[in-house]
Amino acid sequence: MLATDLMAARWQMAFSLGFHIIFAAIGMAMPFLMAVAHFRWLRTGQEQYLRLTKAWSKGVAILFAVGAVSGTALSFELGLLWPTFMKHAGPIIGMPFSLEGAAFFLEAIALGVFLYGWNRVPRWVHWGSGLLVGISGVVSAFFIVCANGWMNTPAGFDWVRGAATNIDPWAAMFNRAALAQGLHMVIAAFQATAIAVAGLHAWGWMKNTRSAFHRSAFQIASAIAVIASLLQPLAGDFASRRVATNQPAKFAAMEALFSTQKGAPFLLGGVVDEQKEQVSYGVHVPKLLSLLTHHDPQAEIPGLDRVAKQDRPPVAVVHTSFQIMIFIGVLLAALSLATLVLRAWRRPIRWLLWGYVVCIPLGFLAIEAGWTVTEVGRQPWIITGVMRTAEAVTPMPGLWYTFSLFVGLYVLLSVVVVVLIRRLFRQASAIDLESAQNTLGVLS
Amino acid sequence: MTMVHVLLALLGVALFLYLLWGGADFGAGILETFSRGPARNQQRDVWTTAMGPVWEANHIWLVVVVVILFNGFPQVFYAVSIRWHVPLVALLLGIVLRGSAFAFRYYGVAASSSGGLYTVLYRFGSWFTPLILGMIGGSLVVGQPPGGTQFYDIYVAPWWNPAAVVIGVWMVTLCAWVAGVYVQGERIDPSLRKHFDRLTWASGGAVVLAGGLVFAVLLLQDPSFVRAFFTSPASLAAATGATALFVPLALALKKRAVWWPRILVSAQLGLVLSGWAWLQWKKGIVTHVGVYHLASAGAPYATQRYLLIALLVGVAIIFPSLAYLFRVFKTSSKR
Repeated sequence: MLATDLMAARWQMAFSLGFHIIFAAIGMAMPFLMAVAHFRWLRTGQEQYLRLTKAWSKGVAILFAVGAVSGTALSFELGLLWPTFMKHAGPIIGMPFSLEGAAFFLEAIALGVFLYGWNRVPRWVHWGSGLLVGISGVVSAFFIVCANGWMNTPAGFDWVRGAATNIDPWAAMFNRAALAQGLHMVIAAFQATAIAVAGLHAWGWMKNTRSAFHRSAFQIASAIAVIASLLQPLAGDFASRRVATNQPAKFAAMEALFSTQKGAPFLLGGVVDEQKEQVSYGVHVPKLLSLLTHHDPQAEIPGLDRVAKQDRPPVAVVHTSFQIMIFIGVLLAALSLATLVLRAWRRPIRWLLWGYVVCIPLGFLAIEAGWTVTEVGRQPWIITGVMRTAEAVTPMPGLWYTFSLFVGLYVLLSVVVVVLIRRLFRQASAIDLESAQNTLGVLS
Repeated sequence: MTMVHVLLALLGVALFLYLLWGGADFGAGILETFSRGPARNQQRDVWTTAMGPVWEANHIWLVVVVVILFNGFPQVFYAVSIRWHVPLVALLLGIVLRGSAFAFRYYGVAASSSGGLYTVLYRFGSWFTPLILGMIGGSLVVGQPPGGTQFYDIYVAPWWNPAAVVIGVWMVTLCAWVAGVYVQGERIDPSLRKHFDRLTWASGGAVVLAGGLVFAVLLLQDPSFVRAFFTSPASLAAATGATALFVPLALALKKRAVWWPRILVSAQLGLVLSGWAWLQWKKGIVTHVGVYHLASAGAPYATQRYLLIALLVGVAIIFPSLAYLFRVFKTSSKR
């Protein structure tokens, strides 16, 4: 199975999407964090806010550039890897892509004004351009997720003898999965980014407890992290109930539910054996799945027994990813509750700040896990019930070569990005320490 | 029928703006390679200052082209995605390397440092990407109908031939020329003027020489194309017009005008692109499974209508915003 070009195409797409989404998520959320810091500076004149805005901007500029070029690559890869899919889907779901392009265009323009326009445009116009970067980013994310939602819950066409007719792009865009997926993803972007930024500055704050720079940064980031982490379980619940209704095969795989049941249990953990259709070492919470899904402890949940074997997704991968994602979600929610209860932004609470440091990568890990659930969970379909992934792939052979090229390139870029962000963080902390010492020097 | 033509016109505009403004960015990287002497960091800074605020926006036109294609002309997108897979991957490699290296150098490195590896990768990307673009564009217009069923025949031969390569080289010089003209309107320290003037004139010469080379190679590889080119009034007019514009351009540059050279070089590029588009229109996309023509490869009516609406909304939002961006960063009281 590993040897086929189809697997190479799927892995390449997975890698490209998985790489891009981290930068896209940061690009969506950071402008809002920056807008808060920037606003505080414009209102209070406290200079740590200016330093924070500028320090964050440098990191964002690097991450944005990598996000932009990897996004351009994706728009081509849609056709390079899945030309048959694009031939049929392009006319149906192309509109959200066009609108995403327009939103992203506006974002790039606003970013140019923001990064380079510090003393060239009026101060509030400048602040507004930064905010516009964030708003355009969120709008463009919604549109892209609409397109993915359509792959999960196709709408707006009739499939007649292998081709689409009666195409209605509007209905296609507003498909049944769009809103649930969109909300869940946007909140996830804010959650992952804010947690990571809070973690970085938690580290800085612990190293230099007098630092107004790191404390202010932690305040802003943790506030957004807390709000997002507490909203996300609600969005997740909404999304999974939609999946239960619209994509029962995916839902059954998420839960590793091999047989249809009334009063189905919720499975925590567990190692899945797809051949024997068994789960070992898991904890089954009785009736919880029916209760959560349909608000009725006796509701029937269709299992994989209702899905023909050749139409089933890879259960182990989907179930495990789902468990990773919700475990992280619960962890981050707990961290957020602790932050709220202890009002952790007021003074450094070492064990809690360490919690944030440990959680730095977890939000992004949850994003990758969640996307694995929804994409692998849709297999073998590329358009659910209409077109199989195997039918969509390019006829060109040798795809392991292009896969290796992209993976090599993206691994290299990741290393450079991590090195540069670390360097920027240390520079900003050093400047911060220096200015604190100068202040002390002036005072003493 | 008319909606297809409007969509094609918008596609043409998007492609034109990508080649003009994205091309200017590529040219900035190309010409930056020639930074020499003790003032080389200042020379380099002129290029990065010119590009900084606008390069991300400039390159989105390519995404617009791709989106119009797969939305409005899916059969053509399908055919090109399969047959030109290899050079398109090369194109992506250039785009990703170049954009990342530029950002890494600008934000990640101390101001006094030359940025070593990033500079190398950025400059390589700036030469490589337009080369591949030209090869792809050239091979869509020039070239024999496909024969053979081997991998090489289907996936390599269309774009790996002397004509396509030399058109790629010409594309590199064209981007350098656009940048060479555009940079004259930037704020340049008087001590650096001579360096930039030399670059501008050299890139102009390079475009003409490379253009001649293109015809020489075409005469050898595909003489029927040359014949068709010189017997078609449209392509002749385009070529003659673009060449003739060198005269007022040279005069405007000598007078140190800011906007006339930019307008004139845009007109040159527009004529070149129109000539190419006309030839492409007549030829269609030739693949091993058939010939695809844009006009007949259109998506259904409903799709085209929504695409047109989306594009018009986009134009209404983007053009004024772009104008604002350029106004903030490209206009100044003094030169």
